[in-house]
Amino acid sequence: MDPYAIRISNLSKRYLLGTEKSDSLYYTLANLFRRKKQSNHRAFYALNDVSLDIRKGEVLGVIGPNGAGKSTLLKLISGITYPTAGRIEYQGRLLSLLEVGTGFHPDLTGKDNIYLNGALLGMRKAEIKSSFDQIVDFSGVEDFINTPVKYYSSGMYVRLAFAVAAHLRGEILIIDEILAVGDLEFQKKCLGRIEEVGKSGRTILFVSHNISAIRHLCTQCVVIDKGQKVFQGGVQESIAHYLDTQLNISGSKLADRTDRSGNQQIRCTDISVYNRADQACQIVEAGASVTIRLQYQSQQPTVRNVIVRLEFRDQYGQYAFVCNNRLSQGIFKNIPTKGTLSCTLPKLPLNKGLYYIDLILRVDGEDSDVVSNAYSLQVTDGYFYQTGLLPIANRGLLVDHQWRIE
Amino acid sequence: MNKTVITAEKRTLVETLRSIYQYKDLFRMLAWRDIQVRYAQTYLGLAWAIINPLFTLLVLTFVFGVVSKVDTAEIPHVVFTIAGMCCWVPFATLTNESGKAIVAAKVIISKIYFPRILIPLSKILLSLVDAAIVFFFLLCLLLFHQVPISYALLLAPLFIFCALACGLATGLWVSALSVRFRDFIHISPIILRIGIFLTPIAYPAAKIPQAFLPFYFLNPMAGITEAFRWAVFGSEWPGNHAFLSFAILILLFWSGLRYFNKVESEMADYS
Repeated sequence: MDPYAIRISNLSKRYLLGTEKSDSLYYTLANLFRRKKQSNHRAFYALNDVSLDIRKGEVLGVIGPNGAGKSTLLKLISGITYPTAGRIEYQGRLLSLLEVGTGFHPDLTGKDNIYLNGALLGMRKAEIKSSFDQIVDFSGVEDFINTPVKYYSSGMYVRLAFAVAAHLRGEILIIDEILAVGDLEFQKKCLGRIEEVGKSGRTILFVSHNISAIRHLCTQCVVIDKGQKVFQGGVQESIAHYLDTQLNISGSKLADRTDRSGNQQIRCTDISVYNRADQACQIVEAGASVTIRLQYQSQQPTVRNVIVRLEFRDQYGQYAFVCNNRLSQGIFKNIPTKGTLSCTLPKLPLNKGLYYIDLILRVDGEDSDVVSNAYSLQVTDGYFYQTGLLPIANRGLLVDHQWRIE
Repeated sequence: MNKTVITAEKRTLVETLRSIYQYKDLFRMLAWRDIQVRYAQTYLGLAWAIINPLFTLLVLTFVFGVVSKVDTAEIPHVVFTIAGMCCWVPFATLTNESGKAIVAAKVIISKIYFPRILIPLSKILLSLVDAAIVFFFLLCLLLFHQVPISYALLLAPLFIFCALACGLATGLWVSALSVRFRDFIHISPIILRIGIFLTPIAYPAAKIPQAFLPFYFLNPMAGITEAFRWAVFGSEWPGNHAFLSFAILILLFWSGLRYFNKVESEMADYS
C-alpha cells in the first residue's frame, strides 16, 4: 500500500500580474488591432517547482513568510485553482477548511447553512445528516439553530462554521489560518479538535502564523519561501530554520533587497530606528521614545497621495500593531521626489523580544513598495512602567494604566 | 480509496458533466437556497413572484393590445401575450440570474472547489418557479376566455424547456465572459431589454415582413415563442424559419458549455 497520502511533484503556479486596465474588454479589443501587442502583464511564480510527499497520518505544518506561496499551495491541492505545471496526487477525500464561514448565507438558518456548507465542501446530504447532532453540539448554538445566521454574533458564526468543517469526514484535511478568529476559549477547542482528528490517523495540512500552534500540533513541517520549498523536516528544526532566515533577511541592506513587490514607482532605500537622543540603534528599550526614518526615492517627478504603513509583528508572525499615516493624520498629499519619512512613537508599547517591521508604501491607491521584514527590532527591558518591570513574554502589548484603592 | 490527480490539464466537458452528478446534493441545495432567499426580508414575500409577471402582462397588453391594437385573430390579446410570456419570463430570469452568478459567488469560488457550472445551473429552479406561475396564469386565462385548446398543449412544456436551455446558454456565456471582463455584467439587461421587443411576445411573428424573417429568427427565442404558441393554440406552425431558431439554440448552448468549461479553471484566479 502506498504510504503517502499526497504526492506533489514539480508543482508550479504562475500568475500574470497586470494593471486593472489590462483586464478590461477595451484593452483586449484594442490590442487585437495593434501591430505590436502590448503586454502589461508580468509573470510571477507563486510556486516554483515544489515537490513534496506527505505520509498518511502526518500532521504537516506549512510555514513561511507572508506571500511565500503557502496559500497558493493549499489552493492547488484543494483544486480551487490549476497548476501551471506539475502534478498532485492524493488518495481519498480531501476537505479544505480554508476560511471560516465562507459560503454561509446570512438569510438562511443555522441548520440550512450546515447542510449548504457541508455540500459545498463536497459531502452528501446523508453524511451531513449523520454528523448533524455532533456539529450542533460542538458549536454550542442549539438554541439558535433555526434562526437566520445574520442574527448570530460573530462568535457564534465562527463556532458554527468551524464545527461544520471539523466534523465532516475526509481522509485529508487542509487548514489555512483558521485560528486567527474566535475567542481564546474556542481556539483551544479548535486546536483540541484538530489534535483529535490528527490522532485518528487522518492526514492534515496546517498553515498558520501561530508558531506555538504549529509546535503543538504538527509532526512534520515544511518551510516555503519565495515559492520554493526551502526546508522539510522535524518541527523544531523547521521552525528554527524559518526564524533564522527571517533574521538574516532583515539584516541585509534595504536598498539591495529584491524580495519586494509593488510597482516600484517609489522605493524605500533605507529604514532605521532612532532613540530619544537621535542615535541610530538596533536595540531599543520598552517604553522608550522611538523614531523610525524611511529614506525613499521616486522615479516620477511628482509623488501624490502617499500612504505609508509600518506593521509590527512579533517573532511568531502575529501582528503587534500598525502605524499608518492615513489613520493617524491623513495621507500625504504631495511629497518631494527624494527624502525621508519619519514616524515617531512617543512610548514604544512592546514587551522585550524580537519584532519584525513590514513596510508598505502606497502611491495613488496602488502598492508602490512592499517589503516584509524590512527591519528587525530588538526590544530590551525598559521603563514602560515606572517600576521598570515588565510582564513575562507573550502577554501582548504594553498599555498605560492606573490602579487605585478606592 | 479513490485517487485524485491534478495536473495543468483542464477538465474535459465529459468530466465536468460527470462532476455535476457527483455534486447533485449541492446542486439541489444551491437551487433551494436561491428560492429561500429570493424574497427574504420582503414584506410581500412570494407575492412578488406573481406581481412581477402580472405587471409585465398589463404593460404589454396596454401597449400592444390597447394602443397599437395588434391583430391576434380569434385569440384575445391578453391570452396571446401571456402565452408569449410563458417562454420569455423563465428565459429572462435565467439569463439575468445565471449571468451575474459567477461574479456574485467570487468569494466562494476563491475559497472552495466545487464544479463551477453548478452556480449558473442552480438558477434553473428559480426560473422553473417563474415559468410555473406564468403557465398557471395562461391556463386560467384560457379557461376564462374559453379558448379552444388541442392535444398539442402537451408539447408546450417542451418549449418552456427550450427557453430554459436558451437562458442557460446565454447565462453561461455571460457569466464566463464576466470572469475576466466585468463589462459583460451589463450585457444581460441589454439583451433582455432589446429581446422583449424583438421576440414575438405581444405580437405575432407573421407581422414581420417576409424579407426580414431570416434575420428575425436568428433570435432563438423568436422560434421558441412561436412554437410554444403553436402548441397552445393549435395555430399554424410558424414556418421553416423557426427551425433556424432551434439551430441557433443548439449552437449557443453547445458553445456556451464549451466556453464555460474552458474558463472554469481560471475563475479562482480572477476573482
